[in-house]
Amino acid sequence: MEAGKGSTDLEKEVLNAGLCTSCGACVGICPYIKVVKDRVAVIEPCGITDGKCYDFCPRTLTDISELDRRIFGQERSDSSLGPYISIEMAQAKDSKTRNRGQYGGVVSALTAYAMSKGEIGATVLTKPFNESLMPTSVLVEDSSQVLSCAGSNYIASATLARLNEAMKQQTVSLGIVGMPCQILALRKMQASKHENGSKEVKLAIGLFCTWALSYKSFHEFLKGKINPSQIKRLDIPPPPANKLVVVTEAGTLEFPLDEIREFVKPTCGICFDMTSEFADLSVGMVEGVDDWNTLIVRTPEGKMIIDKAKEDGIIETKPLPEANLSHLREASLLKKKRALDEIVKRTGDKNNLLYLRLSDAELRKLR
Amino acid sequence: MSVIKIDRPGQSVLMMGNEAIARGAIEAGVDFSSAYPGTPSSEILESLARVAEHFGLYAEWSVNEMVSLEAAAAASLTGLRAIVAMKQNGVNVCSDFLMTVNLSGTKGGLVIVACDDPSAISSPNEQDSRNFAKFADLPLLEPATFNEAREMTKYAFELSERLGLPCIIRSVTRISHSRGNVELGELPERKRSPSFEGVSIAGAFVALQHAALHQKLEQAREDFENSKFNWYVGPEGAKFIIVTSGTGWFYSREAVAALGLDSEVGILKIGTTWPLPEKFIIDHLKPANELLIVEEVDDFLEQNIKVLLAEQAKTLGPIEVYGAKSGHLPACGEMNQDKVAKALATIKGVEYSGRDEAYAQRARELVQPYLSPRIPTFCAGCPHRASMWAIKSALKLDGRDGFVTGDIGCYSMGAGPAGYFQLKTIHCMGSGIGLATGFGKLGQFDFNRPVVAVCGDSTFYHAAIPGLINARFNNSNVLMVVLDNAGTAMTGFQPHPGSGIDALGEPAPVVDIEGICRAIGVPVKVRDPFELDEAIEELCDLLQEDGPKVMVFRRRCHLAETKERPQKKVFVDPDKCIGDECGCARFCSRVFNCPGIIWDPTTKKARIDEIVCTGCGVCAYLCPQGAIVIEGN
Amino acid sequence: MTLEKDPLNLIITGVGGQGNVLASQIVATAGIKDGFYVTVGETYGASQRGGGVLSHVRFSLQTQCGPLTPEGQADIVIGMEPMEALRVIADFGNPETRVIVSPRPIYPIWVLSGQATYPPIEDVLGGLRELTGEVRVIEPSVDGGTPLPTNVLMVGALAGSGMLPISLSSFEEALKEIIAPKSLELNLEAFKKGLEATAT
Repeated sequence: MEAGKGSTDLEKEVLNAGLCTSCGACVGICPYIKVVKDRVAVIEPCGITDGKCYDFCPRTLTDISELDRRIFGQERSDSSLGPYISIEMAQAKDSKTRNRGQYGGVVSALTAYAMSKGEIGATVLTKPFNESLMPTSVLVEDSSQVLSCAGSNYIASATLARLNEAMKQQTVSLGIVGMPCQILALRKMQASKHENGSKEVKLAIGLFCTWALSYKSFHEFLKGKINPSQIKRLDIPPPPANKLVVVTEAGTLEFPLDEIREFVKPTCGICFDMTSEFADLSVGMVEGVDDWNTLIVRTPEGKMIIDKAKEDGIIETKPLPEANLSHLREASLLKKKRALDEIVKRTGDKNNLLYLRLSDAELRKLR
Repeated sequence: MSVIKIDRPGQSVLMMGNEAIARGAIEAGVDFSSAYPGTPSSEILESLARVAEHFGLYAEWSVNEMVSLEAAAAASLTGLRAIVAMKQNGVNVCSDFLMTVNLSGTKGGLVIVACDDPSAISSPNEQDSRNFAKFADLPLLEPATFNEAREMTKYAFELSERLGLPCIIRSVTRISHSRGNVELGELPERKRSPSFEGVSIAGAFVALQHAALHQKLEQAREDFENSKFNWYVGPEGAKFIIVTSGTGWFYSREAVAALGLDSEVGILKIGTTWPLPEKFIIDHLKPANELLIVEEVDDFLEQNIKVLLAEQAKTLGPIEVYGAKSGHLPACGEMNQDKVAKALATIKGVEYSGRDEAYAQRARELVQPYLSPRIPTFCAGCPHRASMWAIKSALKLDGRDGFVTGDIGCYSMGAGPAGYFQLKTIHCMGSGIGLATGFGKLGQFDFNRPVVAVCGDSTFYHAAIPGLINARFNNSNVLMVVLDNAGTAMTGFQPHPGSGIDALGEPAPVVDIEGICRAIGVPVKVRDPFELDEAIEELCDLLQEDGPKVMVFRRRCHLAETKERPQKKVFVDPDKCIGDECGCARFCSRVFNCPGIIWDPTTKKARIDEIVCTGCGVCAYLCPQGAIVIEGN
Repeated sequence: MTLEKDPLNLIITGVGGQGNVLASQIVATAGIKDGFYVTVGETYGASQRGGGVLSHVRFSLQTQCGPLTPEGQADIVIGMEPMEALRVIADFGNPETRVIVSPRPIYPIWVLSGQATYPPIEDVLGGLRELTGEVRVIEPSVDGGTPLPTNVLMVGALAGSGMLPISLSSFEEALKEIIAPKSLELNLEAFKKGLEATAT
């Protein structure tokens, strides 16, 4: 363990270096760090030299093997998708949930199910749109409210800030649905020597993510084209569509992805994780299949929920076709390789991988 | 009971200098009074407003000093007697009108009281307003005692009426804000009735008026030659004479006494300092060959005396003049007895020390360990503290190195630790938005740092509106934050056009700040600064918008609030307070710095100082642990 | 009517909110009633708590004095707060100065915020004793009930000490003129308490 670092280091090494993912892990702990939209800032140095903010951040030094051992009991054997128990296709049985959700509606269905079964008392979710382009994180305490948070928004939001706040008061066990960086931060919180309530998080569902957009530039791009308060749904259909679909009350608009890519947060270029490798369950789309999700079961806790949900007829699963699985592997691996290249490009030193600490074996496989 | 109302002529009572000036105006039968508040002048109009009903006079808080003088001049033009009071900066504000009303002349006595603040104890600058009298060719009086302040004010009305010119009284903090014996004069019976025939000065006529003005000033000089406000004390034929005015009289006399020089040093005290009573001065300076000039702030008297000496060189012969130019006395800052005594001692080559040096040394030693710099701060419960934190946070989150231009009011302290060093400029009333409109137009030179202009509500009405109009007209990228605490807080919470009451406390229409902004065409939001997270987010949103925009942070000055309402009790739950630990690091007592919050080093917990706390509760909102509790919530 | 020294300089010191201005007004008004020229000048530290306030009250039979006491020329110092009293002595005291002081500290902001510590009260009083001719320590009343206003209590102590040649009746008249009727009774009680503490 390195000597501790604090908010001043976080500001210097992460925020000012453009590495912040806006996950919110450092927000809501103290009065010194604030987020507005997707922008995080240290308002005033707090003087603490060994701070939670630095420790929790998914862009400060992260030892992947150590996390693997901690969460999964062993180091990964699959370099592209991380540790897992099974990979399948899944969908919510309830058609209403499927329609409201993205693709197969598995995330909404599982979350509501886990709450109704009392596995978790409340869940931190992200409402994709709330009168504006910006998503908002909410603590859902009633399973009937889960569906109002269904759907994707490609703008990063500080979901973990809501978790931090919830942990200050919450006495029940919690669930969370988050992006890969957020799940990583959650695991760092759970592994931290600093006392915090994250051990109460019993179910972490991670989403697949290739990148997130920065609010400011995307907002400016849409200005004059769309009234953000009318947006109902955002979607990036699988290749070869190569476009962003914006469904609004006034009709549907499409933008070529190449126009959108310049609004991708710079930190996404160094992200190593497409499939939320540290989640209990990872969920994403299935290329070429509209109303099914890819479901990666990673932990025994995740497996238990899935088994029960299947038993109770909440979701159904079927095998993921081999072609889809190898596509998924390729895509994930490509993200990792690109991230390593980009990191080395930024540091100019192939031994300086910024936040990443990988075992030599792992590194050899990727290079 | 107001001391200036007492009808017992001849009785000596304790009065503040400003009350003495107000009393002088009452004794002169003043009809009309107006002012914009400003330290150290505010008590003049406050005193008059308190007795306005009793004496049937009119009193108003005007929107600014320019309008204040214009309104008072209108009364004068109808033959009524009018007084207008202001601090030094106000003289600058009204100077445009001053430089023409001197030419047009006036009818009823019009007295302008300019209260200077030497050492800028409560001001953005130090200035000597006497220069305006010379600049505008107007008669100038400088009271040296409290009773003289009363007498001079009364006389100023008579002189003004006789000359048809406004008359300027220059007071300073140590006259205006000190108290002393004032002998009450008669209260008048007479009531004037106004009439107006019109005045016009324009074009070529102005030159004629200027010449006439010089003649009037000559009349004033003749009047001053026999003024009771000028006198000499000391030995006959003294070779060394101190020439002084205003508070210099106190300090000179005490310095001479302290050095035991009564028998050889004379003091020539001048109360009518422009135009100078030349004959009177020459007569008294004839025996002298050394002069020390003692005055407060500029070397006004010194320079004018030197001109006189040069003109009278044949009569007076060579005279050595000591003062600011010679370096014997400072050319700025407050005067005091010690400074005069030291100057006198140096010139006369005598020993002077207030007390034994070894004693002074030991006294300082004993106190030294306990001397910490006094940090001026916002009061407990002050909404400005939250507003400054919101602005600081928003600029940090905005991330483009934005900065704040300041203005004049309590929030000027925002330039220091009280406001987290946010204000980068402080000049004069309204200059915050004025500067900001300029900074906001530098984009074409690749200067793109966001600029936030802060101003108070009173300052908004006083001088900030033209700046905002300019920002709109020229589409400058400016965020103006109006810190609306519902009164002119810095000077004692006098009413202004937004208060809903007038100078007498009677109901008055409210001039709506947002309405003005909207009429200008500038988007405006209103927010309670204690709702910090929302305030910060809205500021961030506004900063993203192009062009001018306004945020009104509205929350009543907590000093005024607690006078009227019982305060809520706030306390710290020691079980929840985490003090120095990560997650807090003593945010409330170390960073937010409200004087109502105490750090207890023994328990390592925060504590609320019940005597200081005003129960605003903003710290409860800020405490990350929910450890600060508002009773009843 | 005489003055042992002309002018006689009194400085009343305390911190913002303790009622310095009122105390100096009472003393000065009483002085004028007895035929003195009295001048009151006030200087301030920072506003609110932690900021020292000084009222210079200067008495003369001959003339109106200036509003500021010259360095080292304080004849009497009323300290409503011990540290402020010591501060005043450092600037205005001399070996003959007489001091009436409350030993009750009011902690300045830098002590409250944990950046400094307040010295032991005995050290402060010791400093005062070392530097001045006489120190009378007046404990503000603490025997239950409504606390008495320290400022008027200290004025009472001054009146009782005989340090000023001002009649008791003038003090009482001034109190009645200046204090609002609703709090007069409490203030008269405080005055009496102070008076008894020093009257011998």
